[in-house]
Amino acid sequence: MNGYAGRILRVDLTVRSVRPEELSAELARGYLGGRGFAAKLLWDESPTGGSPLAPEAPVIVASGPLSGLFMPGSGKVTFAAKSPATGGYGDSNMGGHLAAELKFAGYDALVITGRSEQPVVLVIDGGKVSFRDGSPYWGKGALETEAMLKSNLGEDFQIATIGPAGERLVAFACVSHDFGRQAGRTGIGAVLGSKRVKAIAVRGHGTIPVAKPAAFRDKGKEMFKACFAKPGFKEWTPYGTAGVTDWVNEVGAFPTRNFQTAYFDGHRDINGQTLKERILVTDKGCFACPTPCGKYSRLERIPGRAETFVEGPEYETIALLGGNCLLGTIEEVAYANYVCDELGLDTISGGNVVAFALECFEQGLISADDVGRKVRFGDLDSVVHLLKLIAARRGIGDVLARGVKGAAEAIGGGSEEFAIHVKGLEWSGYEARYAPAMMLSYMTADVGAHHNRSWAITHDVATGRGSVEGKARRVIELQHIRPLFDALGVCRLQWVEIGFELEHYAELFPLVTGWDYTWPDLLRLSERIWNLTRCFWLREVPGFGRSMDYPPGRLYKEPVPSGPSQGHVIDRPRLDALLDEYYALRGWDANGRPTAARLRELGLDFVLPGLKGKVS
Amino acid sequence: MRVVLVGMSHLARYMPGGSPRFELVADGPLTIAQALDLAGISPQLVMAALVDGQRREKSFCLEDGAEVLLVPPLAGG
Amino acid sequence: MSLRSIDERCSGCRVCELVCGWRLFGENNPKKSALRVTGEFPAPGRYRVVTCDQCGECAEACPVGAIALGAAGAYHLDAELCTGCLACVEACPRGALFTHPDVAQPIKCILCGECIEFCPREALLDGSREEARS
Repeated sequence: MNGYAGRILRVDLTVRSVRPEELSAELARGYLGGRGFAAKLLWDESPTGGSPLAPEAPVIVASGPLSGLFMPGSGKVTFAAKSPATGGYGDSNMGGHLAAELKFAGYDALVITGRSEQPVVLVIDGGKVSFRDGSPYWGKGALETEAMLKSNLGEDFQIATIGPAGERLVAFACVSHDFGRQAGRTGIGAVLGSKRVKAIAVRGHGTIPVAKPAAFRDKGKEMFKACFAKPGFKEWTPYGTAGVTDWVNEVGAFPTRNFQTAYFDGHRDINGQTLKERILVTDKGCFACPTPCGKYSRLERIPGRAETFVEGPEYETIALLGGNCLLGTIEEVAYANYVCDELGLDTISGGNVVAFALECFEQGLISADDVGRKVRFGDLDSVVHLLKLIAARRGIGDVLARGVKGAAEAIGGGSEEFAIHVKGLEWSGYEARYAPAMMLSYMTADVGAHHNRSWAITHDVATGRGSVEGKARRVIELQHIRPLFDALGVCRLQWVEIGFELEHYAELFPLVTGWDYTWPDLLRLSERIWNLTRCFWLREVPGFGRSMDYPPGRLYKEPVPSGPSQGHVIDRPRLDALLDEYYALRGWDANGRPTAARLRELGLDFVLPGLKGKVS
Repeated sequence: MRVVLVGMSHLARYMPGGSPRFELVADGPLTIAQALDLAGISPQLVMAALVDGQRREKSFCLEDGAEVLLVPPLAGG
Repeated sequence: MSLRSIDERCSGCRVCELVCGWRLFGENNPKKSALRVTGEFPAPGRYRVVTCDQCGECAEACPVGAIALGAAGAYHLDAELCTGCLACVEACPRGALFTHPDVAQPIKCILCGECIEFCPREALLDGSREEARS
């Protein structure tokens, strides 16, 4: 099948078997790849009502039909599972070189089930798949493990690892690759940890077939040239995502002090310009990326700490470990980033959980005895101490390891009001009390409070931040376009950041696959995938519906106390107006459940038996 | 004087008339901020402005015939 | 023309390898390219591009005379004459001759310049043009 390696590798860790299986044309044509494969395979194969950490629970690692190809940004891979953070659909996509290598090795996707008795490293060397003893690496850092495996297996292996946090099943443990790229969100690192998979190493030498080689090659060349010619090509790249830090503060949307406010005075000391001036070593790009957002840094100025290397910090880390924990210098943010990376913790959830704990401590809901010392906002030692407690699950760390939702349930005392999450997934870097479209994006994202499905804050700024009317339509439009990139296995940043036209992808797709899909056809598939993940939530989470689409109390009850958004908040009736419009446009009922009619229209008839009594 | 404002990336859809290029004729002198105001473009939509490839503050005074590239805020992923 | 790299500019994207695989074999396969990007991580955190500088030591080492200097300044490997002994790979001082399990002969740079054209970082350059300018 053109565009695809043509096989899925099934791995059962319990009996240590591997089985390559031909990729079905039905799966490829109907769900494309990446998160589309994840949604379909999890629906079909995740045992209904099962624990995310049970041996039977599958982990999906999936590339897309454009991954690994000669075109801008073709390096994206999706990691997916039933999320231990939320109990619902979980995925996280990652750049680097793993997606391409997987296809060169002959596989579009991995489906990993079972549980190994001993820690294991899964080694995929083209057609040769083996299980190596993972014990020498167990307990080691995620970056350290990658370095050890590179030296033991060969530099040309592409390696994904988990850190100690994944081994200890922390709900926001990530998967790490290429010394600083992560599939950060939804706790896939914990699912791999539960299976005792310390690492996956891949190497391959194969060719990815395309339908029209000469035309594809020429189109690929044209796409690179078009990127080079964009004005943003040279303007955006030097700072990467960190370049947006000042702007987010100027519009009052920067998570600060556990989302107490939306503006951080010290933002200029942790922004992209400061990163570039003070700590940058090299730009670090993913496979086939013309606009590398990766900034690789060296830290030598932090008193009492050894020289440290870290990829980043990128914007999300700056927001959540910086503003949200009040770390005031780029070096401190980068150091906390490094600690998260080595422990295998998502920096977004990690920054949220630490800030939540700091606020609980301030309010006396947890004590110095629980924490092992006094802790405070703005103190790097406090942040690092808490991160290490979490990864070790020591003391209060064991409670915090559940994420803010689970921790608030255990700690009580009204802390759920400032546990900043949706559906159990902590909020990423855009405070949305004065940005209704962005707020709705977070409320309805299909993994929980993550920005990547719809980044709509500029739409709010352009069309009026005070109004909720008409916002849902744009959010839905973005929720189909942006995740489509994750299904195709490519990065969206050339489009998002430098204005690279979507028409290029529409033109390229048939040259790769030979299928006469138009852009609207592809968006339709993206909508199908969106509805399928919603159905997964509905099937797996008891009582799932509208009530799980709301932000925590702080974000709709407390007006922003300072900065450019001061005084603003979107109250409950206006949140309801947003949801009402959103559900109606999607063809869902008032409780946020897709209707049977809508599901049939989208070719999702097969979900209906599994949702008996839940949809009508 | 006459200046051209060019909205980059997703800013294009929010430019006056919905087209990426907007030509503004007004009495000078004119700063970038004043040009945005006259054109009805929210300064909050503009993360950076480039004149002849150089990044300029919004207080920068434009010359007749200048082309100003408006870079919108860019999302972290 | 001569190919040289400014490694500090490289961001490791491997577009050079991709375009090279297309040029030499008409395939989407960076493993069939005549140059390599290597990374040194976690420390000191830098990339290097392994490129052929057409020094000719491979031609000297070849026992059957399968490698010869062409008109454009590149040494070309004649697949008909090559026995696949890999003496040239051993002899290359830069490690810039590559092997691939599906290709009988070593893969060698033909100095086509496409990697220069498509490097997003201007990390690959035509050294002769640089010299002419200075």
